[in-house]
Amino acid sequence: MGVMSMLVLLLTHPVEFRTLLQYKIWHEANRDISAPSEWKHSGWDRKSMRRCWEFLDLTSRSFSGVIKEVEGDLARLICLFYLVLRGLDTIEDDMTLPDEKKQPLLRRFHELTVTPGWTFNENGPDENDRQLLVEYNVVIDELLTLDAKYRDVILDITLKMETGMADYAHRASTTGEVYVEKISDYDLYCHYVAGLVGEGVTRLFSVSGKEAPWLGEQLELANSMGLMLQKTNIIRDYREDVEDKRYFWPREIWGREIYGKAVGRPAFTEMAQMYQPGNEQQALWVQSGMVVDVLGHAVDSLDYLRLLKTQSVFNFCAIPQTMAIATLCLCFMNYEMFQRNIKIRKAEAASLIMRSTNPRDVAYIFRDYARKIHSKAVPEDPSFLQISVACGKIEQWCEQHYPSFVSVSASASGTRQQVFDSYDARSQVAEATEKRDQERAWQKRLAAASANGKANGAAKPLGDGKEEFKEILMYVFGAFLLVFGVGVGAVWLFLRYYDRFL
Amino acid sequence: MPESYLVTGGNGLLGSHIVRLLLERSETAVAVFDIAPSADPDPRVRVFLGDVTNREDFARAVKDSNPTCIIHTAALIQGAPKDAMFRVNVEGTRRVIEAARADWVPKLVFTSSASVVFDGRDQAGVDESAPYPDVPFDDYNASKAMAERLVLATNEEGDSGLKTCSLRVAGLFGPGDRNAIPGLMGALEAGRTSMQIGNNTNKFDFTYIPNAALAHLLAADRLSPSHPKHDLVAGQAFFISNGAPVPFWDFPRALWKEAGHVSAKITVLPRGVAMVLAVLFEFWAWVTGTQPLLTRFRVAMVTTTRWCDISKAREALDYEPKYSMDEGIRKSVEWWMESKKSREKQL
Repeated sequence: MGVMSMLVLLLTHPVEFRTLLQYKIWHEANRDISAPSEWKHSGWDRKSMRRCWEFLDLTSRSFSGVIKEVEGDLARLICLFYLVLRGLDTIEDDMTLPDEKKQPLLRRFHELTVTPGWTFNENGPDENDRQLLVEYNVVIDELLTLDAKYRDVILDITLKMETGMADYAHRASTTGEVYVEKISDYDLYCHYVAGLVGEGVTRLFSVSGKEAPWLGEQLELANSMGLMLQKTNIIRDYREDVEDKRYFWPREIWGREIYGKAVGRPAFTEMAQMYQPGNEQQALWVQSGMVVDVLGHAVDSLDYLRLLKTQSVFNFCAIPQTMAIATLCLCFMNYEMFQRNIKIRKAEAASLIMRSTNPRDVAYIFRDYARKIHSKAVPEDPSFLQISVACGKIEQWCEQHYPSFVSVSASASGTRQQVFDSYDARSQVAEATEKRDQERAWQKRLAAASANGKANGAAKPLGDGKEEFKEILMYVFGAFLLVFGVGVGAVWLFLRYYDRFL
Repeated sequence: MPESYLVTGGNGLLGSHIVRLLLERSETAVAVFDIAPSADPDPRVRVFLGDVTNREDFARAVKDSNPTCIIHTAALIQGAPKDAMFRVNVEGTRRVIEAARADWVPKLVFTSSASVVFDGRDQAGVDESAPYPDVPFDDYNASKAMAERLVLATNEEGDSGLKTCSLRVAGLFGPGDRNAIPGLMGALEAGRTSMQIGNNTNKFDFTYIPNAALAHLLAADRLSPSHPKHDLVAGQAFFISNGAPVPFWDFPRALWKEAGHVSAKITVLPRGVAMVLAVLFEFWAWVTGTQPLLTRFRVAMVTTTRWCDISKAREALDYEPKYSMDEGIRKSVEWWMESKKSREKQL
């Protein structure tokens, strides 16, 4: 953002200006991967890896910044993982490649990607990332330097993804089907292109030791993380995709009769009908159906985030998720989405990045957007109650993991304390539990003390805290007397024999 | 040994659904105790008519049907006179316990209410650790809480071998409903759908009746001492709901929408204003001796957050709401429309 546009923003949206300024001061790009101290992790000293980092910047504008922030070797691992998948995607996407050519390339990609010197320059001239494949040997060189345990994860996911992509590409080119029919097909497609990415990075976290070893086995949750992002993008990119004749929305949703019936019309038969004038209302009902479907993944993604322990990994995972729910909220009941590509505002994105630092705050971000989505829902919407229930589920999750009657207050000295809301009935229970635990702890300590006493042959009676306090006072007083006595004695001795020292 | 069931209030709303589920799973010994006969009697069900507060009536039903499990759903709901409510809900329950103990019935499942812990304050995700309030919110809650304590204490005594548990159902609705659905559909027919009290952020728990009925069967099965989950269930209370709290006003709106009505404009009456109005209405009603249009009780009912955490039921009872809110609403409105037709025919 240029100085001029920042100045305009200061005048038009002062709050946004403040957010962006704070973001620029405190949060932008902390890590310099080119610094010599980072070479060990970033591989910046190798020409091939430097080229890989450049490719990352070229192929991914939104992700490259977040990826570089992940600590240790993970940034480099994720970067290479990303480039491999991007290479695969570039072959799958290319409409100029005939199916006979595409099939063997896709299905052998997990081998090609570790064949030294392999490159590919037969992509169509308009293919966005064709240069990556032209110089693909740098990615291969870097993959081969990796520890086998990391490479295995990357190749395993590549194999799964290439198989899924090849199946889809083959079906599309042989049957002439243009639309995704069932919701289950849609889920499977998203699993191949995004769920597997979630699985891959999760396993990389585990293998690197930055996260618990069992995290890599949480495939359902990792899949949901990917699906939440992919499905949100698929909804938002409706117009762009339809213009390019890419149809990802499942007919089982957009072709529902109930959405037509709600406005007294037949169901849609083509996806492009949704942006045609006169169809606005029905298109919005379809969109709601799509949004409900994504919201189903939100709770899984909160579950996943709660399992993480490394800060930079958390940020890496959480930021795209909060962006997704914000995007979902922006799209919901917003017909503009069918007309052009809409995006959340820069300041909103910056604010999300700054706040997505711990599971509690992320949960509250989710909850706030869920409330916003709910407030935009109308009873005429055939998905009205489902939206309401889905938003309620997010609220339930927050309440169960971070109950609203507990708040954390920070005092001036920086110590944090939990405070119970006395208006809430659960506070009584929590207070009673706390008190009981405290009493139990005392009992235990006293029992241990009395057992000790018995072992020494002198049984001490059980007392409460006050007795102990008295005892401590007695010792303190005794120690004081002792010091005082020694001092006085020393003075007395000094005075007594004073003349002898002279 | 085959089980034998006696369902009190078995011709009522929840009771009839429990009876239906029992028959659907091919139970051969199902009996009903109710004050009124069923509108649609089933030949497979033995019916005992009587008053649950009458010791002889109920003891005879227990003797004759010889149940292994009593499911006690009979109760008077909000709105009944106070003394009748205490007589039926508390004394009636006492009679049921006495008769069960006298005849060595091994299991008793009691239908309680989620409101037994309600004290008028917001409750988001309340669970079974919450205490009974010192001052109950209303007489109904007070009577149900007293009855529930009796039932759960019986399990502790254990001398007769009677095992008990209590299911605190929240916001029942469904076909056959004489409270929630008729009330809300009545508001629709009277054209009172455009008023909203409060800001509608308060979530509320509802339970589609077949889900609640299912929970009763699960509880009955798990009260058998041989069941692996017996220890998790006997002597315990459980919250039961659809597990899908929604903002309060979304529920009636979804109902009205299903019945083909969406109010064009909604007037929002803030909670505080509504409370003041309610006081005035109540005063006017007191002076003139009429029914107030709005009461503080009703304002509180529709503006507080009230939903429970059903994790305990999920874990111990393996309870999972089988029917979604959408389905419940569709079936309820369908039923209401049908029954409306037959009511109009009668006229």
